[in-house]
Amino acid sequence: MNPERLIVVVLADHLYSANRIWQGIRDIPNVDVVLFVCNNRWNAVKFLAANAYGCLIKMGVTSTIRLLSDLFTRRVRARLHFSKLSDNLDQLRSLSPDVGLHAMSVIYRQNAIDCFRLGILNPHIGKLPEFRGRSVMEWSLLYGAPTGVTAFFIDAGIDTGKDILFFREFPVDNFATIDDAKNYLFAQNVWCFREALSRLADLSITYQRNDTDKGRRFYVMSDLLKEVVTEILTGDVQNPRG
Amino acid sequence: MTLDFSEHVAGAIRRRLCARRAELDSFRKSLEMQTTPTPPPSQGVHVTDDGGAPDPEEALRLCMVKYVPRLAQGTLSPEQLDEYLHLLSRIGEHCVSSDLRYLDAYHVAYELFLKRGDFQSTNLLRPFLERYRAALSAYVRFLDERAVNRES
Repeated sequence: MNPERLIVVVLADHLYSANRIWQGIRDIPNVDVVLFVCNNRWNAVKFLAANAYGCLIKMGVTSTIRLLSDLFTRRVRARLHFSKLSDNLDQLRSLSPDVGLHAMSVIYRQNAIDCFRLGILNPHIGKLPEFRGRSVMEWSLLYGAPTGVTAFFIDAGIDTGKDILFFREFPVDNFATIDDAKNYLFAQNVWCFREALSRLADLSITYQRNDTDKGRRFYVMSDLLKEVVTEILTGDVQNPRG
Repeated sequence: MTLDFSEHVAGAIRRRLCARRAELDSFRKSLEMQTTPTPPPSQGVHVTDDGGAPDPEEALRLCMVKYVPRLAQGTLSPEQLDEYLHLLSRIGEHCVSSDLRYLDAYHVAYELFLKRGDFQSTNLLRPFLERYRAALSAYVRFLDERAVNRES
């Protein structure tokens, strides 16, 4: 089978986070990438300031020059919108995208999801279908389940999208705090997108079904149980895999 | 999916629950010295009518998704507070199991009420404290029985 050429749209709140993903996937063959940045949270001035700060300070000179070069040579395209994603669905649709990469602080409505031929990929920091919802890394640690990232196509529900691409285990044993462990897992989104796009582009993907009956929805964890989880992370409480 | 945790984790949870129960007892004593409790009728605590009530999973979802964020932001109206307490009372009987989400909904509520100073400002919450204490004790007993069963 010939590899498929994919139009991929990075959905982000900042050019900084969009670029971070772009830099991680820029050498994948058969993928055309558009950075689609929307202002979902701020007024126009704050949005511009946040993006300027991200480009000039957080990204650094080298990374900014590389992005500008990629934009200039049309290796990547970028769309900066000063309004919310929901106000820019026509522009999104006009790109005829195959896959969206989620890096936006919104819950996507069905009309946004429907803009994509295959869907919007979400790197979920827990094992699906077992652990849906919030604080799933903490709940996984408490129950002795593996920690890691699940790549799946979202639907309008909370972690209920039917098609799972893969789960990859990332142990967090060497982190002393919940925040550090979580940030490490969140930072795996680039790896996750890269792996997913590679498999989608060379048509080597086999979906697993996200059977919600096999899991539970979890919620934000109390301070009391977080203390227990911290003890597990620091090794004060041993927690053999269940 | 069957939820279960190791004996090591059970021990750590037990220690925390006992500490929380002791904290709760001294807190309740200090509250009693401040005010005279007069629990109002519309507490949700004495609710026995289950007609049209959500199932426990849905009640838990409503507690955590609808009411907890509003409580944290300080935008929970008195009517919503009453509904929230009602839902918490409904999930109370599911607290004693290896599925820690139900008891954790009580921990989250207590921690938020405490942070916001709500216990001092309203007597409405006294029955919640009673229920929470009972849930903590029941869970400690559950862990003790579980430990005995695993040993034998």
